[in-house]
Amino acid sequence: MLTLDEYAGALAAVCLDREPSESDVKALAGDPARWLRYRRMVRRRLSDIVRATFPRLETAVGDPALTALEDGFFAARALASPLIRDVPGEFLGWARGEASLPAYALELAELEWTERVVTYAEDDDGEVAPLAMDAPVVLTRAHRLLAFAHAVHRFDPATARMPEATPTRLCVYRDPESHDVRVLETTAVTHELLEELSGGASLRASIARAAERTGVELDLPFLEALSDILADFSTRGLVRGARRSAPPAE
Amino acid sequence: MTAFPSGVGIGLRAGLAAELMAAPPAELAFVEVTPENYLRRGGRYAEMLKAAMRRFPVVTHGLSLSLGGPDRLDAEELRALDRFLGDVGTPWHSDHLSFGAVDGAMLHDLLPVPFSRAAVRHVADRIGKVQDALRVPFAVENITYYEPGTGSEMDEGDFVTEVVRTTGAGLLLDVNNVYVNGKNHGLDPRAVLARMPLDRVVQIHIAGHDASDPALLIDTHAEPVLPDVHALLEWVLERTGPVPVLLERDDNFPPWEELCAEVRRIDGILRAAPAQKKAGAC
Repeated sequence: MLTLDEYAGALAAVCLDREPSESDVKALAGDPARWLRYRRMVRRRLSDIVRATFPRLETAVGDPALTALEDGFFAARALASPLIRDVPGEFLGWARGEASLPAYALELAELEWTERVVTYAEDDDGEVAPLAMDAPVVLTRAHRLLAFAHAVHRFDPATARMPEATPTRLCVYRDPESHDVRVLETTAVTHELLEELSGGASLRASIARAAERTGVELDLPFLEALSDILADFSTRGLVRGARRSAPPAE
Repeated sequence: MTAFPSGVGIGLRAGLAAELMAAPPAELAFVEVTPENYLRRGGRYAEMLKAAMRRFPVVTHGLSLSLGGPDRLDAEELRALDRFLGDVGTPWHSDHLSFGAVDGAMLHDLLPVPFSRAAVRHVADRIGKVQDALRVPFAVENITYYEPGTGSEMDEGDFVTEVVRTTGAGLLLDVNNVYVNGKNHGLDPRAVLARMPLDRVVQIHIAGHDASDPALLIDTHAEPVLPDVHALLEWVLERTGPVPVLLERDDNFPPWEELCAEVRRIDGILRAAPAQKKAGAC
């Protein structure tokens, strides 16, 4: 007779192992076909959400390769979150260690997962102040910055060709009105600026560091261009404003 | 349990939300939400939930507590759940008499707990921890099982009764699950129901199922409710009196008017139920 823990372990193994072992099915007793039905149901549910999240990855690598990846993922049991919506992120985390996946395909999956994360990122709260050079800038929570070696945002499912291999920096953000997710391709200096701002540095310090890191001269044309970019980011809801300074202690 | 409208509700699903907000059936009394879909989520989901809360009473129903599972309950997740339940103002929270997490791996399915005395003790202990963590009453739902959990030594009715009586939890009675189990295991659904603690029913679920393989019906929530299941609902309501009834439709959505007609059909059955439960019926 199995203990409760042994029973749960045997059923989990039947559902998640690459192949259900005869000994596990036998240990469960009852009708083997019905235990195998559970296996199909569990795997189907997990696969459905993986494929709903990564349609471009599926197009890029094809169904057999994705199925093989899923088999490995299930068997690795890298399914820690109680939330099913986290499964694709867990799949991606596991797939990062898979040598069989081409680098561009992994980047494609990173982009698809990021789009999903940004779609449902928590809403912004708290008041912000107008932008000021010496205050930290508040970006929307619903954004992520990505740096890739391939232009995966230009992947065309119709041809499924490998995207161009070129340094690519993307900002994925959510439109605050429509909730649609948008993908912006940014320059190296804008990417660095957004990285600095995300880290909580002041606008002045962020501009200086971004320019220094990318070897851009801090001249008037550069600052004017940057001003236009920040205005555009504000319009898009990516830049919310400046962090309000804490009231003076009494 | 807190008072709640004993009408017909529908599950808030992204695929139904637009029509639900634009043209809800007049008979709709509440919506049911799954906290796992909304916890720590903004954007469209948060907006959908806020819109539903402005319009309808909300009751919550979860998927992930894994009440029969071996893994430790996550205290932080329970705290987050409790905060969410407070935010939406649910009168109670429910989850399934099943397990889904084993050795740190979440299978995201409702796997059957053996109908055994050891399982009653195990599940009751975990329900106690959930009850301690939540500030609203807690109810358990009977599941569809395609094979009884290994080591079962009693029937489902006795198991559910033991769990409910031991813990003081309410019962979210899924009549479609009882029907599907009856067909799949050669049992009379009414005989199974008669052994359930009907006096503890706080809410009922009704749904359709996939009957394409008559040898094994599958609980899908993606098909119309069968007349036999309506009849079973009627039978239960005669014994429980009016309680909130939730139409579960999670996939394969029909035209909105069809769902509204289903809500009206269920509302008609509910309105015909005796105002009080039958004396000695449970």
